[in-house]
Amino acid sequence: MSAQVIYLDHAATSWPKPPDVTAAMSAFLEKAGGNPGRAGHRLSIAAARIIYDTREALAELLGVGDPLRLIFTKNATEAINIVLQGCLRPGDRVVTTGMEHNAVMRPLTALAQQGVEVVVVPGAKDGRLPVDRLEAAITPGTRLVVAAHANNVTGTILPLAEVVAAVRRAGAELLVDAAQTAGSVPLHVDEMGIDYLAFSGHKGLLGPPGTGGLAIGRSVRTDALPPLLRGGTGSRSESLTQPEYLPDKYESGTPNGVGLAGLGAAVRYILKRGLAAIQAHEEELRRLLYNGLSASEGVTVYGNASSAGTAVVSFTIKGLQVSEVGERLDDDYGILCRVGLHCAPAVHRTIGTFPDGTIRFAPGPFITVEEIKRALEAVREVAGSA
Amino acid sequence: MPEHRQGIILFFTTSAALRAERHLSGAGFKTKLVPTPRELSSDCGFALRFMVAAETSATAEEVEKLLTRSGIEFDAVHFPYPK
Repeated sequence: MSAQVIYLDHAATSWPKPPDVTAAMSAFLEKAGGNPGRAGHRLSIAAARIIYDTREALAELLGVGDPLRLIFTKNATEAINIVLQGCLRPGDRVVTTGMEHNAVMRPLTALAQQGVEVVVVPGAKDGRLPVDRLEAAITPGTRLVVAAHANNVTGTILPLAEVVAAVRRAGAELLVDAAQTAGSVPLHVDEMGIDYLAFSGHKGLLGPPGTGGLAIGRSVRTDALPPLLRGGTGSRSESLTQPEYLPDKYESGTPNGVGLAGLGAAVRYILKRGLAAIQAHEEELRRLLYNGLSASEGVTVYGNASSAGTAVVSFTIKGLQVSEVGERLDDDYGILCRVGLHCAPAVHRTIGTFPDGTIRFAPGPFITVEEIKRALEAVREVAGSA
Repeated sequence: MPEHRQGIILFFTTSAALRAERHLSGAGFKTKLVPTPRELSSDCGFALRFMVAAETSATAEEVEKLLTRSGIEFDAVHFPYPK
């Protein structure tokens, strides 16, 4: 068993975290342990202030002018469900793509059984989405369009500006699943005209698990979007009905303060290091991986290097099951990656790797060029033994 | 004569109170988050108390305008408070 690890599973969750994250989380528990927004005493206020700081930092990073339009959830999945289950009624038309994660496909499948018309625009085998076909599917009367900003198997990035324009023309609304891009790819909810942006706090944003959220665009009227959960908010306690104002409407129950404290520290790290610098670094690692794997005997790489993408590269090795490769990379080389279907059977069908799946290398911002070279060497050795 | 006059701002959500705290202290106000006075609201969260020098002519309307300009929603501005 190799003692050192090279962590290439950043697309599932980031590791390690920036150094301040753990400190911010212990400080929250030790020095600000009150229930945020529930009382006027100093520990409650201290907790609320830490969570608000995270809200402000994220609003800056994601281009949300009003921090109160940023809703915290436990993950991107919950944020996606708020919008899908809240917006869509039987008879509504929703357009999505063949490049979606189960976080989108499972709620949509359930909604289809209730009479929602779900239109899936197929992606291309190389991971790209033919935008003209998506545009053609967004007919007038479409209620909602749901699309991943980048899929989690090939990392291919959707040309968002073109999609936004098509959604606007049809008078629909757009939900962007940014689980794979928030913190790694520049986003500006207000300027890009995104209606709903669901994000994960623990992937590209480098925070702890149990954090995520939904940014709501400034033109969205939330009175038509009921919350997924109702309950205590620390506000309007005399009323038995859920408040309508943001963020309380969608934030019932005691929030994950300790997680949000860590997320705040992580986002401040990203703001300090600079998203452009992180993106450039990850792009360099992606190129190295793509080129190195493509040049290796017996290795097939999926997706394409010519279109924009996140640092996510999927491949298979001739003659070896992906599970076998994953085990050997971990045991013999300390290389940690995710093999299989990545909770995205729809994407694997699109790229032709269903049901066997792929081996996925997804380096984060702390991975070095040297580590990528070692990982490539390991793949060559494993492939050579097949 | 007291050195300062106090007012209190009530919000719908504590997130707005925190947002206002940042804007008002940036605008030179002395502020403090406090439990919401029961006689003003049954809200269980907190309110924002602010203090201005007694000789200044600040009015509730000016504070309201400052908040509105920054896009911060509030329930009510009570100034001076206590009367």
